[in-house]
Amino acid sequence: MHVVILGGSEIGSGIANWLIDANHEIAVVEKNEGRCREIDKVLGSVSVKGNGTDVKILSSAGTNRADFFLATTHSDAVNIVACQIAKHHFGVEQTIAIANHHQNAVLFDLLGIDSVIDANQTIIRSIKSNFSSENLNYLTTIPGNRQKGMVSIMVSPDSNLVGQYLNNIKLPRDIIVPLIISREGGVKIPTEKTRIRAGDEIVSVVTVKQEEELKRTFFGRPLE
Amino acid sequence: MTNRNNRHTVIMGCSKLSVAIALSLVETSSTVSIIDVRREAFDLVPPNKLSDNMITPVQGDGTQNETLLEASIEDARSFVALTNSDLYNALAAQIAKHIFGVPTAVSKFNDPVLQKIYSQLGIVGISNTDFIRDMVLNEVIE
Repeated sequence: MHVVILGGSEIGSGIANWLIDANHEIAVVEKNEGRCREIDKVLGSVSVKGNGTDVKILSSAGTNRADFFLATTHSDAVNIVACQIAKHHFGVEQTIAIANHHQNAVLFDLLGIDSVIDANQTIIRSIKSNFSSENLNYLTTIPGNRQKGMVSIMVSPDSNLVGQYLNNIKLPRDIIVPLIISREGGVKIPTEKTRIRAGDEIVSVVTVKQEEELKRTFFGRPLE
Repeated sequence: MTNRNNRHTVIMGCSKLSVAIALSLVETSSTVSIIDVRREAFDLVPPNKLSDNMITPVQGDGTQNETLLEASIEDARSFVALTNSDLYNALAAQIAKHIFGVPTAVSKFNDPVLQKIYSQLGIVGISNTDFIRDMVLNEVIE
């Protein structure tokens, strides 16, 4: 597999390193000469010095035969234009871009970037998951709907839901629990016979509003 | 709220060219907002056109939603990106078209490859090179 990575910062070179370990062919397009030298010293001759929105530079990085194109710079304008050149000029099948501004994540989706990483929202989610007093973890975003996220909620040992059948718990409207992960790491699809146990991770897909309702169900409100 | 029956145009980048375009548009009783990050760029606009509200200067980044909203992008029938950066022009024109639904988005490109790509993606791509080439060829070739 050949992957062209735009931007040789920590993210770009980190992904480059991982792909090389997995025996893939890569090129890192980076405009800063010093950074190119550092990358080549650590990863072998993989850098292409130049502007990532210049077709000649992208061509010399082998973008025409790339399976993936990944744009990781701090400029959303560079990332979007480079991905669009990769897709529409070179015919790259899979484009991945970091959106540095949340506003642009929606645009990148609309413009057909195959995978959009909403950088700051990803960081915010990671930080939120540290507030573990709420026992709520943010697992991932839902492609195609930025309002929704996959979360898991842990049932604490002193919860009055422990031992109850999931069927008997009144879940908020439009919320389903497709998966429960037990404390031992076992995974099960809930049935009418499933009882909630202490330490279970209840997995669901929710909006921010539904997230609050889910929290109320599992922490705040007594069983009906 | 949105009233695209108004003949309103948003131009990004305040240069002599932008002002010339704006002045021609206001003569046809259109309104124009011009966006630029540099406040001093608006010195190019004739003061009387500012005072009669035909041309509205908006200081800010034309790739930011707030700036575009301040320039009444929701009422605009056309968006024209004329900065010297192909990348910002491409980004802003696509925001105008795809986020705010402006029917016509025009963008200036220095790189002919970008002009070609974006012309296929629904943006009206224009380039200095093409115009000057055509004008020269008109003179040189009998």
